[in-house]
Amino acid sequence: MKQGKKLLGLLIILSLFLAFALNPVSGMAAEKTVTWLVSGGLTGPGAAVVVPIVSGMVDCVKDINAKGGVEGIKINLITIDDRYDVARGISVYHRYRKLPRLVYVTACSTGLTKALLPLVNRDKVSIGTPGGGTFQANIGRAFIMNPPYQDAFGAALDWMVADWKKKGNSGTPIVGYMGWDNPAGKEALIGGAQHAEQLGVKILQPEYYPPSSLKHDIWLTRIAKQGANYLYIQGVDPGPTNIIRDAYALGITKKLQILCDVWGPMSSIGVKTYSKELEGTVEVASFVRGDERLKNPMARLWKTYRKRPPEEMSPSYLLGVARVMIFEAALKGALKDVGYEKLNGDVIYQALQKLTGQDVTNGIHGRVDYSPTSRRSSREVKFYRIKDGKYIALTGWVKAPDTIALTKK
Amino acid sequence: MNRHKKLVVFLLTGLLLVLGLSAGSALGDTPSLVIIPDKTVLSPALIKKPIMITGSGWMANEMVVINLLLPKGVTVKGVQPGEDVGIATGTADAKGVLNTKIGTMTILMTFIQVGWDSGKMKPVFSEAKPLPPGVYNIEAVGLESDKKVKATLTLLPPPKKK
Repeated sequence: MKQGKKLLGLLIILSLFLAFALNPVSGMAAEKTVTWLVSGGLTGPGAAVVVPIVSGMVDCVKDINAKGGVEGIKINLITIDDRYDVARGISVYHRYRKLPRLVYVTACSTGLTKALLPLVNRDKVSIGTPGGGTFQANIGRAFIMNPPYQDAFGAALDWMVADWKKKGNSGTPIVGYMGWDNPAGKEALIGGAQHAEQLGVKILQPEYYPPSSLKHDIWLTRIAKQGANYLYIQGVDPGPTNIIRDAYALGITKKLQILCDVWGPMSSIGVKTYSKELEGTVEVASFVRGDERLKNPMARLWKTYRKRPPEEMSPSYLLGVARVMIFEAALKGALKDVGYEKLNGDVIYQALQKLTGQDVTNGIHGRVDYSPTSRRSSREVKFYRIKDGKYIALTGWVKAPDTIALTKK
Repeated sequence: MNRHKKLVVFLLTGLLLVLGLSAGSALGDTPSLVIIPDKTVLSPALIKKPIMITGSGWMANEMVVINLLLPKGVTVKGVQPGEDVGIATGTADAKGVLNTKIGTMTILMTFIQVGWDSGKMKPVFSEAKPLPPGVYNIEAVGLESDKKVKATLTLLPPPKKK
């Protein structure tokens, strides 16, 4: 009898030990947190844009946590440098996927997002991604942080047609297209080309260039010779800046109007270095640019946490801030719906889809469009023109056309 | 059987069940992993002629990630000490056979560890910190089955210049 009691005691202790060993945080966490994993190229290709985005995310999370979190829940933001390598990003996700209350993941490349989708589906976690329209065409757990590239291109085409008419021209303009020689560079035409057809706009044979090319004369000359009136450039700054620099040297900027996609020249990179060459360039922006970015109330975070001159703040820093503000709104909604104990990735997934039409980013970008049928962060874009080395707003937020719907017909 | 004995039997059964489940994945079929070549000089030539990775015994259509286990003292940019680093990924076919390769970005960013010129969007080889020659453990992990298997990759010293 005595021995039985001893054995029972031992077993209870062993069982308790095992229970904690297998699930070390259950009931032990002193602080209520949710985890958000970010995998991106903090060094290597894309870093010029990814680093400011992630810095904005880090600072905004710091700010929220310093104020006590979201309804008392702190955000545990884990940022990992995957050097723009999909294999590293997948390995990172596998390593961190079992972290307690991992409710959201951001993959800073379309390639990594596509690779992670089956895994986040299995784990019922949502994933933030740059701008691939495929995630709107195939509604799932990937949430785009911009309007899809093709919608932005569609908005640019609308602007070109209006501008063409405003200048007293008849008919419709001829448009050249330059994009990276990879899936990202071709994305804008999937739906964008159909939109052009609807408008009666002729798009010349697209010119695809390697992201690492230093001179772009061949492609630019070919486009100019074919009589393009407008040129749309896809690429991440400083790539577009280098193309416009070459177009300027060739005298092409005098002959046609250049427009750039959402990752076009940044005030803190290309515009600063080649202001003369970039004069007149039009940007289709999905987040505030130029002095508007400096005047945005959330620019205070840069001042507080980076302690560097405001002019050095990349516009994509605010895009990172906006990502956190949207997450914060979803988290608030999720907590209201189910409370902390039942909070998981699936609840955040549902909550994100309830933000439709809300303006939660203090004007950093347009109203949120996430819904059961939309993975677009926003449908709205804004047009700017570079004048005297600064971005000047040409429009307010305008609704981009749904070009992805055209691919389904 | 008195109450104490019943409770002991119940707890023992539960304990065995927990241990059994934990060990389950380790007791299943062991997958294989072959690296071709498994000995190589580290150079940009691996971009043109990549290191191939094959194996079998995975679940049908399972995604597999191949990690480089960093020996003590070897660092890789962006990787925390004690963490492994993904060097390839692939999806097994319907028969559980995996065929993949170590891609260009991995050779540049993880093996050769080039610097990066954001202005020119080009790798900077003069800033490279290549992995030192030696024998490296490679581990493949099935992302559904959690099956694991190891192999080695030997990075040979570069040939001496004549």
